[in-house]
Amino acid sequence: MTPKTLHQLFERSCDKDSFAPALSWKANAHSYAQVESAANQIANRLLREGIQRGERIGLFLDKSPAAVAALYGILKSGAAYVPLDVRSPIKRISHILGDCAIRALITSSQRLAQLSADPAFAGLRQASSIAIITLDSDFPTSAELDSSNDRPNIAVNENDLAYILYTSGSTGVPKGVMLSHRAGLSFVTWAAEYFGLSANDRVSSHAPFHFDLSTFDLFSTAAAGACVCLIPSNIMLFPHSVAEWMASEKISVWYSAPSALTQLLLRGGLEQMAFPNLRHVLFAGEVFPTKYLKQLQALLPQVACHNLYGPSETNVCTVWSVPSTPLAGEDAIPIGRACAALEVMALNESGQLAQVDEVGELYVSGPGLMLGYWGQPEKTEAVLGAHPLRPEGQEKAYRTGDLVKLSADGNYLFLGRRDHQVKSRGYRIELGEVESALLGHPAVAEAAVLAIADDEAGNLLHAYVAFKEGPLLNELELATFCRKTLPPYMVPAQFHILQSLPLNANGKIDRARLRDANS
Amino acid sequence: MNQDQIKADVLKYLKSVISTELLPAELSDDFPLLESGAIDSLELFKMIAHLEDAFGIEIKPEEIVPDNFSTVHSIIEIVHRHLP
Repeated sequence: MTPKTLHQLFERSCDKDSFAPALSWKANAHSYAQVESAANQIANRLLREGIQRGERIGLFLDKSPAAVAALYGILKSGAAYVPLDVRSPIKRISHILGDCAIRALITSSQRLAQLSADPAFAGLRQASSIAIITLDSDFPTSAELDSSNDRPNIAVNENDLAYILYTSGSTGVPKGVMLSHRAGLSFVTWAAEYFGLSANDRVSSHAPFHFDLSTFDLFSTAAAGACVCLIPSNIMLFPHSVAEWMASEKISVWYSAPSALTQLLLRGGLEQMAFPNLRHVLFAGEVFPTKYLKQLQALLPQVACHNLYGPSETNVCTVWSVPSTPLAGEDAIPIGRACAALEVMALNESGQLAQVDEVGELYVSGPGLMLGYWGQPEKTEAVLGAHPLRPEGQEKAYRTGDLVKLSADGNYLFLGRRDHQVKSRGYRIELGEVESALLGHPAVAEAAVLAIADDEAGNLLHAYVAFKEGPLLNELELATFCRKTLPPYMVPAQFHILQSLPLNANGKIDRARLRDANS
Repeated sequence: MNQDQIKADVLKYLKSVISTELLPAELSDDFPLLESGAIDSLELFKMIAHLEDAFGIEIKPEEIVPDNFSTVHSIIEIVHRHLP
């Protein structure tokens, strides 16, 4: 039977070879049967708590085998998982939990204590009944779960909601991108096939679960009956340790944002190590500088490199596999062509298909599209509309806001954004959200945030702030204030304090002048 | 330069870049800097660049591992080892 849901991919591999390693963590392997048993117990526990199909369940756990089992447990119960960033401020976490009305939360005692210190979370628990499951071991124990390990028999439809990923919102609050099982399957099954994953593969899990790259790490790996290797959080900051981990874990497929690869190249000591098992390096989330890609090719000539592109709303929708011959020149690499049964097209300003070399906005259509933004029908409607070339039909298309150009060889080139959304270290950031966080301080009169290109991070955020009369804040105080509401990757790396912000002829903040002042 | 002088510089630096909410008022030598989430990757490499400048030392990539940066104490140790 062809799997109709993401957890059925895992179950199919488990039924095929239950003793095969499903995940590796700190040099310990856990078999498909072990992970399946823990996931079943979590699902049965959720069902006992009265969880209904389609309800949302928060996953607020550090990356660990327990988090993987919890994620499958949530899907098996028929509910959808909402992965939360453990490094985000608790205010933001409480906001997300309230926004999507979670019915249960899977967390650890330590993380729960942090969360409980937030009055908004306490209020949420009082106002609605939220079942709390705490998992404190790296691998869940039967004592923690106290339920049957039989596979639950819950009917889940492929169009059911599978997970919600919260991304930066331009108006100051994060928005939840809803993905169905069908949307997830469309990418992960394509990827398992395209990269020829087999039960012998060992796939790195670098991205956190609230980042859409993690769907490949988890589900494409499960589809192939392969082993996902979770990078322990204590070594994530240390490129040399990550490189040693890659070698000792015998990683065969690596997937991360380009900035993590740049760190490995610059500081990982790769030239002194050997990676005989490594077959594929995949990267997505931002533009990988060509000079670093060439260095990577020179260091690892036997490895195939692939540039994947796609917003959370569609998951990966184009791929460009880097030719095995060394790249010439320094031109930006293309994002490639449509993949995973998706259709991509660029429309020019008059809504016509853009010609070769003409700038257009990229639209995506097909089974990978999101269901919408949680609780925001107007925002959904603004980007998810009728298919621009076949408007009379039922098909929908997602308007990405990304400007592209089709080359004569059939590959798309990414040119930039139509709006103020930027990427930094693979994360997508709405500059408006950072600006509204700054304007939330009573002493701040004006604020503008710019992304300044940076070789290593992709972009660094620079904030320009002018104060009202009264107490001035220094840079550290501004950063501290931002950390209360924004996740670390959205906190500006530099603050510039000005008397007032320059305005253009229309009375708007003159961003071009700010940018010039910076260079 | 002795360990106390190194410590004074390291503490001053950490307090200038890390939010006070993430650090205890009295930063002890064995406070877990990495586990607490007080430092991210950009900050880590900025701090290493600062240590190299301030003390005229060079920290090799293979020394940039969790054991050498997990606490104030371990940072003092690695700086001290490199001083002539």
